[in-house]
Amino acid sequence: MTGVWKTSAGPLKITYHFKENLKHTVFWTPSNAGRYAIVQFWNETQYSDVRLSNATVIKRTDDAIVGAADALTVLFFNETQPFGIFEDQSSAQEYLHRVLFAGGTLNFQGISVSDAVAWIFYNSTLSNLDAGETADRRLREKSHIEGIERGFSSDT
Amino acid sequence: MPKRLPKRLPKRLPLHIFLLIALEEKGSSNSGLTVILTLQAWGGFEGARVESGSQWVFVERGANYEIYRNSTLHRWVSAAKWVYNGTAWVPYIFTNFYASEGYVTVQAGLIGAEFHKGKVVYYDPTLADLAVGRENFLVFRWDGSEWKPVCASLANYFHSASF
Repeated sequence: MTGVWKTSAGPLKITYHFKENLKHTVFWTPSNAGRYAIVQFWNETQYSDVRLSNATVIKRTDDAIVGAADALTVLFFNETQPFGIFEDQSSAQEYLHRVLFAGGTLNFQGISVSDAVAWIFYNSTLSNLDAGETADRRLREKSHIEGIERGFSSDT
Repeated sequence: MPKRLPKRLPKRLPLHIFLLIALEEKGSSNSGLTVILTLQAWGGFEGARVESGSQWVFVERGANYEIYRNSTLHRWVSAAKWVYNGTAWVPYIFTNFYASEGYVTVQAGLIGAEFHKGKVVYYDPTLADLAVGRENFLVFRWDGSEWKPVCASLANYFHSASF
């Protein structure tokens, strides 16, 4: 399943795979050359706790900015659901820059997050794009499996 | 790309461990049980046709396994978890509410999702328990001092979708 969103800055195309180890492929093709970051936001996450890659457990509502190495994989859980969602960004390792956990409002270099989780994908080399050049970020998530490959076409 | 056929096994995985349980039938009773743990390179594995001189026939697909049988043996093979549609285990259930409600749903073995023009909502596979109320992607451009949003997967910017 693929969705396309457009502004004057360019089209954003996201393909949702629902395959094991691959949830999204995100394509960004800017109209103008520049340095770009893609941010995945989760609001209303129904889990209170998060286990980071380094085994540290934090509250989902802690205001924390975590480096890529410590948040490459994160497990969301709570007391009644010890295996909530496991978000694995290993395949986007070269792009993952920071992960923000915000209970209030958190700002990272202009990227503002309010009561949400945000994965910032940015690489100082790979994210410098020419006009018309496509950035392709494959974002994995192990909790999502199996593929929806074809149902029917319904372009609008 | 067609979805995986139930009688075939994944070919792309480089290495996979599967459990082979062979029930050796003698007469009308099962008198022997052999459990063989093997490492099998998927690349050279062509579904049910691997045993020399025997034809494996697909019998059943369960939630996370497949059962095959030939003239004397049963084989149980682990598989990705699928979802039950009321009749059988299937890789996904796609339901289209696009014309009436503006969204579609997908239920897979480990997750359920609701796709709107301006967000994706994640549930458990039965769509009963909310997991993530809203997922969006935003694109930011560095203006020299900070990041500025330039595009987003929000309803205002929605252009098209294909399923």
